[in-house]
Amino acid sequence: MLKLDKINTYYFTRHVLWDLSMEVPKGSVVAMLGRNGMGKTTIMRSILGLTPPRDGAIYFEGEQINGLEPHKISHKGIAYVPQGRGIFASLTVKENLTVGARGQNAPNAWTLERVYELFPILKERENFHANLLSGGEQQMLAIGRALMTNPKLLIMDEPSEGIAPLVIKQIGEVICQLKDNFTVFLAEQNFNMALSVADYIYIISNGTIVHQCTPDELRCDEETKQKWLGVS
Amino acid sequence: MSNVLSIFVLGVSYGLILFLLATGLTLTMGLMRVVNMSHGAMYMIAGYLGVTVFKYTGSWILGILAGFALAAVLGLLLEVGFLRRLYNKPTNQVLLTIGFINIINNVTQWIWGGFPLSTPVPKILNHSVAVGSVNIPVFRFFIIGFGIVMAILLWLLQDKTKIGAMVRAGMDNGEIASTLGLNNKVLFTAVFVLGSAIAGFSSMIGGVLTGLHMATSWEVLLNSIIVVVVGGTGSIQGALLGGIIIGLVNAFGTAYFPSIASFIIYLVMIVILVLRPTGLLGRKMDINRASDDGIKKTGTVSSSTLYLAERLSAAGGKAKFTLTAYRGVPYLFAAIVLFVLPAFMGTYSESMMIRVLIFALFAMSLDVIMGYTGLRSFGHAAYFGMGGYVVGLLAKHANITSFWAVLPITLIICAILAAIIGYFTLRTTGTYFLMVTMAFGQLLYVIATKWYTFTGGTDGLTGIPRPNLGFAIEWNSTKLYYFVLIIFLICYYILHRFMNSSWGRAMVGIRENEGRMRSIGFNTWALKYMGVIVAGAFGGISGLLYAYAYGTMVPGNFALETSAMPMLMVIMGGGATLWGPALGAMVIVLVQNYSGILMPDRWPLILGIMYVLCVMFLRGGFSHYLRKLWDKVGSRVLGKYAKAEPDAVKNVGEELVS
Repeated sequence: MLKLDKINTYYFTRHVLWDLSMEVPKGSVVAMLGRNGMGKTTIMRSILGLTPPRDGAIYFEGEQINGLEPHKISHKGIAYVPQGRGIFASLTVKENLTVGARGQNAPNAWTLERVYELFPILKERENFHANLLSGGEQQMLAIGRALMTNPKLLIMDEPSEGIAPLVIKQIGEVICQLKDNFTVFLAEQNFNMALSVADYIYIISNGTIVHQCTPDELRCDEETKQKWLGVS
Repeated sequence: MSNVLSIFVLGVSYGLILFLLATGLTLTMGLMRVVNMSHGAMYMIAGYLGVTVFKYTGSWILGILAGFALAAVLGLLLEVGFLRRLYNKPTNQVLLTIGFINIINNVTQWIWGGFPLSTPVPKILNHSVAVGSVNIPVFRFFIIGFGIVMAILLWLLQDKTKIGAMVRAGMDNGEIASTLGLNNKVLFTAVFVLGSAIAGFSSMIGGVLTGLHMATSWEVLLNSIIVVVVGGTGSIQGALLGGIIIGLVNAFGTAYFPSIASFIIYLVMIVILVLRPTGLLGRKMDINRASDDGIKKTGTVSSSTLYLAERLSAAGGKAKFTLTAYRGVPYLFAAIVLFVLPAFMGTYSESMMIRVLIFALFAMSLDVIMGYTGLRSFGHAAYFGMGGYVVGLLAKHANITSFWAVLPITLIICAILAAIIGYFTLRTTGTYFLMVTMAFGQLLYVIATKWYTFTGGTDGLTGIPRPNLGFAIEWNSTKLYYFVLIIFLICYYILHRFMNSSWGRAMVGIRENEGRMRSIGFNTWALKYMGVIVAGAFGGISGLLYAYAYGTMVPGNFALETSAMPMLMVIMGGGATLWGPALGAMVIVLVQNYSGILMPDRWPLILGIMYVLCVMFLRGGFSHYLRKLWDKVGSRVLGKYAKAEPDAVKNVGEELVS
């Protein structure tokens, strides 16, 4: 569904991603693991058109999307749950959800009601300004906001960052729920959560893929875990 | 009591007009950090058209609609045709829109002859009601009603509609908004056009209070900028609150303290700035967006410096000595040319060159903070004017004419002035800094205009004697030229040493990334403060030279046009080089001179077009291209002398061509 073909991304003169290729098949959950500053967020920004790669190509459903403006890429059916949530502080919860909403009329579409069903707490907080929510609630809001654009692919950048363990569990469950209809591409620091939801794992270091495997393989692969992730 | 009511009505009605003007400014600033300096000019030309349409058709409504349509079209043209190409280049945006003020003003003058127009009031509203002993024009109540209706509509649009939510989302986090599929560009264009259209819409109504004449563009802009600073950027509520405060302060100030009325609104602004640097209802600035120069092309200067060195070492040269010598050649050449010039020039050209040198020094002093440190000051005329006025005032009131006394006094006073202005303005960054320095410059303009007994008011100071150097000297233009030249060269040398010292490097570091400089242990505030003071002191010297050369100082030397001039010179010549802005000054002074001879009435138009061309096409300024060219020549010439292997030289040559 999503295919990155040898992309090279720079911040000004700094070369961050080096000939990076990866693939996210339709209907799967693909997770990226890796330490801070290794390029995970940059990969997402490259896909989203926020930091377009200087060369290489990105295909979404067979169509080349690199070089398009971010809002056009979004309209192709990619939604983003940014790191640190990035909720709109001066909008109410409801406005946050509806501001980018589209495709509401399709059967089975994500609507306000369905998002509230998924996260009942948001319904209660409907008219609050979004900056008054807790971190976990903001994360739910960010996910809900992305779903409201009725995407085909959901890109999530560290959904577990800075959130209480109970909420992490809840969000993990939501991701598993979504799995049926969705393709999810996420970056994670939380090893266990990533492994519990993902179908396939990429490990990123210094802007390249150093290892790729299924979660089960990784669980048993002590050497890789030790070397790239520092977990054992 | 009734008197108070009358003033109150005046204040609120004026405040609401300011609110309508500030709305456009504050929204475009909040969304894209764009300050549209030509906002007031659009208001003015819309008013002129509206009044004219009224004259010919007799329909007041039609006049308002004409103004509305003109401003909307101008706004669209400005945004789509120009500003859109300059996103993330705040300095260029500001200069572009200043250029448009010149163009719009001059075109207005061309069409309407520059006379003030009196704004018509429809017959039904054209009478007064007696309240106690005073008559209040009914039209003021109409303005209040109009303002309130507009405020409510705008507030509903902002807070209750999806479009409003999109705009606020864009202000909160434009990047994330775009990943949700919102098209920020279209949104911004819509907001920009709406802001312009509101200004045009209000012009026929507000013209009654603000007046419609050539100076309206600047006056209205300035007051609405103060409103934005007081109220805070990015919200309708802020503009409303700021507008009403400033309107009332202005009305009551004028009524009860007429002599110092103009200061009071500046005083309010300064107080608010001290207490709340982001304004009363300002949005909290996202730290990443607050440094709005985040995305910009960096290192053009250093890369060019490296370029020659790299090429030379690639050619096997002992670069170090030859490089310094080679780079010194143009400086030496320029100095020699400047020294021998009078031999080939008449009195006329000499006085023109004196002007060039004075403005070159003025532009260089601005370069210290604008080019090197990245602080866009739009109040640099404060130091220029102050320098000149100090010379004039010392001669007039204290009878001090000795140059050796005047120079240090001027320097100290300008440095102190810079220290005071810097103390307040450095609480802000980016666009805010620009607006606040602008207001401070204007404050001095007001003082120079109003304090008649001391400064000579609008007549200014005349008959300032030539410098008394302590020995008898028969001044003529040649001697004056050399006097100015020597001071210019000394200042150039000092500034050059300054900017190439570790201190100057640190300033560049602040421009590139202030946060990082702070985190590695630099007191960036102190560095910037010092930069402002140095810039102020040298700006003062240019004013001093101006006073000596022309013998006259007028409040216009403090005016915004005077502040805008060196900004253009810096951009035109290329910042952070010192000689670039000096070159820019030369070009502008010469063009001004010859267009002044050929078509004196159209000079502002030409200047405006120069602004536009410069910011649109001259990226990096003259200095950037000249240096590249000189390096190209250098790597060939020096490459050969370095006895390099033929291959290496050939490669260098090929690379240079490609």
